[in-house]
Amino acid sequence: MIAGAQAEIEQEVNRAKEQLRKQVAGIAIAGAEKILEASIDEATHAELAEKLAASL
Amino acid sequence: MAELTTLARPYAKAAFEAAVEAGSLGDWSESLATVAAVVSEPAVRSALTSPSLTGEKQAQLVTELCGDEIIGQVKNFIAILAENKRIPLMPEIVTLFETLKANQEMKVDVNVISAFPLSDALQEKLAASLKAKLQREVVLHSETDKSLIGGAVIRAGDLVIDGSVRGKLAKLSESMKG
Repeated sequence: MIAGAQAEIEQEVNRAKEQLRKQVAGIAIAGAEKILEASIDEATHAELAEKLAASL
Repeated sequence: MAELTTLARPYAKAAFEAAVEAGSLGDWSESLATVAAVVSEPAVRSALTSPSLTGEKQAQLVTELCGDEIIGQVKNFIAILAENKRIPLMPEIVTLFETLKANQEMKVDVNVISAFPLSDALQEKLAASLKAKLQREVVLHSETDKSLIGGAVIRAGDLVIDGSVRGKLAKLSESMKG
């Protein structure tokens, strides 16, 4: 009875952790996107395109 | 022989351009091959060189012999050739047409979608690297899409190379969310 309840609690905790991880990841990506959007200008873009051309 | 090729070139080029425009290179190619085969028959060849046959009659003869095997545009092409007494050039025209077709098929259209417009120098660089990678002539078309944030996405047929910041973020997000 107690063991069953404990297992259930553990599962619940794991699920919550997983959800939190996903949320944090989502926020981090959204933040990175905002920063990149603000910081990438034509010069950086040209550099990226240059790298792309070189890596083909 | 070289002279025949020279005479045939403008016709082959015109035929090729018409075929590309109509988007029916394959049909043209088949029809022209049929016409060339018909014209190469000794009996037809001698009939065509007979001075008593007018251009119009020549065209009629060839078109009738080819029957339904050839498309309408090629029938018009025959009429023009006949008018100028150039039907015997047909085999040379076919050879040249096929060369043009092969060159065209060696080319590949590449779409480059980038966050900011690409400079001419960069476009050339991309085209050169793509040419080396694909082993084909490359025709570059560029578009811009702000939502890529930075970098570019290259599409060549079924090949997609995602070098955009958006693509990299998506990859990162996938690996983080597991």
